[in-house]
Amino acid sequence: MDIHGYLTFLPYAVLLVAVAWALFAERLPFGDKGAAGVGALLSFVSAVIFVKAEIGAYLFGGKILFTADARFACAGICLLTGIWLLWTAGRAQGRIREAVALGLLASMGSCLMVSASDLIVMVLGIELATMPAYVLIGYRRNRVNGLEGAIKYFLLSVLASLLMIYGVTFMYGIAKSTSFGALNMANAGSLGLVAVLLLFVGIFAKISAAPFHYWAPDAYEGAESWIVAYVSSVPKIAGIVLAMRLVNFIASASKTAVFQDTFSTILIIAAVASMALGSFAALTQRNTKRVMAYSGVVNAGYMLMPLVVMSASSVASVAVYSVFYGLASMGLLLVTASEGGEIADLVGLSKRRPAAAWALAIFALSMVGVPPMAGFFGKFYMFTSTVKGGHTWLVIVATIASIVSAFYYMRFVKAAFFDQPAEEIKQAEAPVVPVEPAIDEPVRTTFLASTALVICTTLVVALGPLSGFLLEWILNPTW
Amino acid sequence: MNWIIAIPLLPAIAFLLTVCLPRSVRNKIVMLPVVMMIASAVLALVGLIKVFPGGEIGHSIWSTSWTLATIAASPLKLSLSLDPLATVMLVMVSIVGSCVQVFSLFYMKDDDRKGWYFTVLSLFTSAMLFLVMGADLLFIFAMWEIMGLCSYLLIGFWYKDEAPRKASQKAFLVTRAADIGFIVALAAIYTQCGTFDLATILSSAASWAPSVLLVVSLGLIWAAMGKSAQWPLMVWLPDAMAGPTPSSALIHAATMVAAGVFVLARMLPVIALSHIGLTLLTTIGIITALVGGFLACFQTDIKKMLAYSTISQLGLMFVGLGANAAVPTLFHLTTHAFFKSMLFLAAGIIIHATHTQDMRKMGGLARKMPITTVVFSIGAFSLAGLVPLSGFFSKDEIFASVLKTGNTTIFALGLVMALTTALYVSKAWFTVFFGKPRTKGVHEGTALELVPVSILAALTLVLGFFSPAFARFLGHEGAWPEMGLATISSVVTLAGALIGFFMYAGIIDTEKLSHRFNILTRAFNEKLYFDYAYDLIIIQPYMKFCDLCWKFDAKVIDGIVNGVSKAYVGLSALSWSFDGSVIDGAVNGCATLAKKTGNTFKKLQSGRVLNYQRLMVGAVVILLFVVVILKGA
Repeated sequence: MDIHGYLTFLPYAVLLVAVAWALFAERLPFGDKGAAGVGALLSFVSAVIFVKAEIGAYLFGGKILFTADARFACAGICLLTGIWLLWTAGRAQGRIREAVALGLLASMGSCLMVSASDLIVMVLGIELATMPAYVLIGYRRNRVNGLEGAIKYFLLSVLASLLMIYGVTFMYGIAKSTSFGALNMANAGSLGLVAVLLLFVGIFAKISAAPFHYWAPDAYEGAESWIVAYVSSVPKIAGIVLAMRLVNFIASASKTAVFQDTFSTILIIAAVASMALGSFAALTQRNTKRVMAYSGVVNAGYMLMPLVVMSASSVASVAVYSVFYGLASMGLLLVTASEGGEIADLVGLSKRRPAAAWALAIFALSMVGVPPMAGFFGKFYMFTSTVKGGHTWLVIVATIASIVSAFYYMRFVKAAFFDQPAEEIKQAEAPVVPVEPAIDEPVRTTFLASTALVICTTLVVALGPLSGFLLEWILNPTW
Repeated sequence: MNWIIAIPLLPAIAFLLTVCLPRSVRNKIVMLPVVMMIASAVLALVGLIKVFPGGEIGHSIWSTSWTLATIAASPLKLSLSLDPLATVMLVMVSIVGSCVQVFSLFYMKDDDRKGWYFTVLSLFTSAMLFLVMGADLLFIFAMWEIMGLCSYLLIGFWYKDEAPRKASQKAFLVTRAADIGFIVALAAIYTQCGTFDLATILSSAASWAPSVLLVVSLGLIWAAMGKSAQWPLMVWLPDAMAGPTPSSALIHAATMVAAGVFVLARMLPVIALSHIGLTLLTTIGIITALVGGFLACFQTDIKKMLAYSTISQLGLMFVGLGANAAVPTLFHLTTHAFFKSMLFLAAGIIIHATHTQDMRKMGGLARKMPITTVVFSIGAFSLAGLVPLSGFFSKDEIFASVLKTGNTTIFALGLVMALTTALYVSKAWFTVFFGKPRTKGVHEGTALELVPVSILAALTLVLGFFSPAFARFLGHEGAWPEMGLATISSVVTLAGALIGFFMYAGIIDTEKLSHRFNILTRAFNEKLYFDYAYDLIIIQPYMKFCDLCWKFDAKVIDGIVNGVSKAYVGLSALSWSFDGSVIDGAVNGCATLAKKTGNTFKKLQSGRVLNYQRLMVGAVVILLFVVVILKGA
């Protein structure tokens, strides 16, 4: 391992420094907010180092393979973590140093997940990325909804992990190796398919793809919006990029047509179920976080679709879209985090905070896939590569799901810009669900939080036209 | 002929569809498993017509096979095949299964877990249907185990009472102990054949090493002794009466106990190669037949009496197998399945009507429940072996094959067993249906109960006349019973019935007799001390060992754990009080916290997570199904 090999691991060390800072925040300058600020800074630094890191080398005796897609995903993960911590430094209230540390640890796990080339490292990464998320969901110990959500998330996630590790043991039994490169599942008959299926059940649950998404709406609803902003974006990027790498490795090691057909069938079932369920289930929701949970389900469906094709360009488009989705989802939730948990709470936002309202509109439009936002380009590349792979009908399903889901993204915009605050109607229709505890301090626009939202908005607007370059950066590592 | 697969698959689908649903929904769609089961029975009948006129046992008419996995270059296969024997068994199992399910519709209608009951019933029947079609010993073993699980679930269905709970554990543990024999046999077979394919095993058995042959025979016989409740492993079957009565009908006739005899009949060519195997079968069989028969005479509980009668009849089947006569044994298995399930269902009606299982409290039911009386009588006479009911024919065929081997001792003992059978049947029959009515408000069963019972009764009536046809269907020479033999056994039967009547009528003073043979009576009342012996030899030492382990655990390990946790609690309390006083310092904060925690608990117990998990696991099962069945190569 030469100096470039160490460069690949430098970002992890940098993130660890940030974690250590956060854990000792009360003894260090500027307290909790300082920890978040330092975390944000170091996350951005990590992102830059990841961009510069050399790719293609096996590290640690083949346990890690830092490929171009891993590089892209790691950079994206660190970037999003930075944006989130920046906002946290500016806006979040109360004791947040553990949240900062947990977020950074989860990001580290996510980076490990996407660069793993060994089943054991993969499981390790997945758990490191997921465990902090349980705590984050139930972060405020006096919020009953959060605790309930955390326990539900934990129980369902444990079940999924169980199934996944069961699959992993089968894979080890068949391949006699835990290395991704040796995962030839084609000669083991149905057992190989069962193993792959169980492995992917775990991954479907992590990216909240139907029918393994049940934890998401409940867990998200219970947590605070700024936490959901993190949980719904960063681990999802890691999960989907890991899925993509696994599909690549398994499909190239197991070459029989029957195996690949059946493997595709599993992915198709999950993709179609996610798109159908996620788009319709969100229509009647009133809670922002529940809507975003179902939006996550639909988007998981979109992102599984190109994996069915199993071609290089199709999986690259997934990596790009996952980051675009993460940016828009995080931005949207960060904007609503200062308002309240219900969509109705956004009424009058354009009067109160015009800039935030416009940012919200841009994020929603990107989610719908309106040009020239990033979401449009991401979806465009994913859909074209799927059509090229011969699965036109899948794209038709995805288009219908997009149209249906446009309706509920537009409800955010409608609430923020067009709805009149009507106190008496709101009172009559008020749902019985307990509202979030009133935020003690009045909403103050802080410089750091605004900066975070500005970065997010800029990226969502600017990265779209640049997505061609991003694809090229993943597909041609020499570039 | 690929539709054949639907026969076992329909109940399996019913199980898969219902198992994932929440209880309330499951309770509402009990018709789904019933309809699936009846459809399966209809398909089985169509299959019987298609397969007619039959052929050799093992002659495959239709077969299929999936490779589940390849481990160390040897394929793990799931193979099914339909031969004449499987066809007959499919028809028998699916008809009995349908009758039991239809009967249960009324019998279980007020139970709040009836959906689950039907779910398990479907799995149970489906496993048996798969087992009879299995062409691979490993697959047969898997189905065998599923049945063990199902009988555990059904016997312990009313798990809130102690007796069913204990009975279910007993049944499970005893049959599990026997299943070890199956595993040993499987391992031994694999060393010789390198495969579990049934046809290969049967054809190559003659060339095996004698020691392996012996191990395989003994292992399989041991396993079947547990499943088919043979002496000395029969202790679980009488206790299994704690389950719902219709499920007893299924366990006693079509599924659980039939599986043991069926697997032995399938593997009989292997066992017959070793003289020890056959002798062992005969010995075990005749002991079981006599013990069961004698114990049945001492029962006052109608279900217990039927249970011991099942044990005794299964013993007779083992005797048939020991005489290397598979076809008569299977014929007796079939006729017994029909009349015994019918007897249990009829007993269910009677218990429902009289609210007691004690025969001494019944009486004079013939006038109040005419239809039940008629069908029960058909079953009872068939069990006793009265001409011309099906039980007479099948029993005589077994006796004839025993005589053919020249073993007159066994034949004579068999006649003793026939005598006891006639005795307890007639005693019970007179006690229950004649004399003074001893219970009030007795009423006839509903149509939903009577129709399935009547179907089974009709089959019992006519099946005897198909005795040669049955043998021909399985590729054997069929013959009517010989006059001499038939006369002897009929005389014995009538003698037994007469003694039974004398006992009922008080001409033979049972009280006086039991006083004179005090020790014998006590021994029989104590079930020949089998339970006591097991308790003394196995259970008590085991419990003592457990107690020892527990003491070690409680003193040493818990001590360490408790010490650590106490220290931790102390530390936490310290940090909490610091946290509470310095940072919060608010008492009302604690009050709200308490209130909200209370609300949380209320919410946490909504059971929704369970639903989510059930849905997730259901999705995995469906996906596995898609992957393995539809696409697996």
